[in-house]
Amino acid sequence: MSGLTEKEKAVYEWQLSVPGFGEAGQEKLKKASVLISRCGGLGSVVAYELAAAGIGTLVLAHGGNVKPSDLNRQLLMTDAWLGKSRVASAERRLKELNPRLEIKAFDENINEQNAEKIVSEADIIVDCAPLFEERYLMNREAVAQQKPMVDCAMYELEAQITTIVPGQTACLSCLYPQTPTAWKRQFPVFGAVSGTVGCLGAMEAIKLITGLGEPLLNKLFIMDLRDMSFQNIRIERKQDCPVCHKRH
Amino acid sequence: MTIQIKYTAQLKKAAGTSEEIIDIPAEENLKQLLQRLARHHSPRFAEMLFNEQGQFLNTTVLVLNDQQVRLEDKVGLKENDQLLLLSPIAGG
Repeated sequence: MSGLTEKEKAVYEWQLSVPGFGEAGQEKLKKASVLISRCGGLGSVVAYELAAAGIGTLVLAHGGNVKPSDLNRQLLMTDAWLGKSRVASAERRLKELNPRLEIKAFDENINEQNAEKIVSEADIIVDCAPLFEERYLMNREAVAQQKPMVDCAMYELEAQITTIVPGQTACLSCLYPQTPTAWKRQFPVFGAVSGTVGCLGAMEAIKLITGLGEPLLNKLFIMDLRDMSFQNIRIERKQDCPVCHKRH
Repeated sequence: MTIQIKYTAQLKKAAGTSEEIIDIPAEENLKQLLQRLARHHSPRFAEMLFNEQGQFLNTTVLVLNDQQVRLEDKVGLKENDQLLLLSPIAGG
């Protein structure tokens, strides 16, 4: 017997016929929870695509209020919501699209005090945070709690993505053993670039949850939309990684 | 031998180019090549690769012909290799 309602079958009709997906895949999405931190240019699009696809629960972590400079890329924020909570704006827009969606909203960014708790709320993490401190915390908790993490990043017209599965793949600390000192909180980017890699991140999450296709395991996919060059790079675990080596 | 070098993100900005082709002695290894690049480009570029003690900063992902390599693996180079210096980026 199907775990989908007639309304759900109608809404997801176009993806239910995707080979290898079907009602079984849709039911897996319905039962799954995904943490997205933050819901900015990247995370907004990841959240919107997962909401549209019928994910059961989204855990959103994003502090602060909507600023004018958010609006070129943070598609869950609106001009009318300037000065008000970003995560509340995200929740509002996502519920408009999919009222069946359950949302656990945290009006704060990932930090040392909340990382373990917030990560524990989800089956999968999609890392969309701008600061490496936040990204390393999510990576640490992903490894400790043995949860997959899709890692998305962007800069100017460039973007990259990889999927981390603890015990199987390189983790974020394998890729960047030292905190990048050159990275700045504010950087040049178009919303169309964050949206592109956000869609890829949502698709990676869907693949992880449903078993569809092949996720980017031990592969770093990079792109430069300036000249439309794309490259798949083989990456490896660091044998002495202090985060993932001793645990697995 | 001839090596093609490519840069991304902040390294591309610091180098002032997305790619270049250089000729190096046949016996030159990867670390020596990176030191050569640091000398050739701006101080800002050099700071992104090496600290004041001349140690390579493990913040740049080194990619040789589509495969990530690590400096400690003492990887050799050969004619027409493609080396990508991938600058760390994040979300937002």
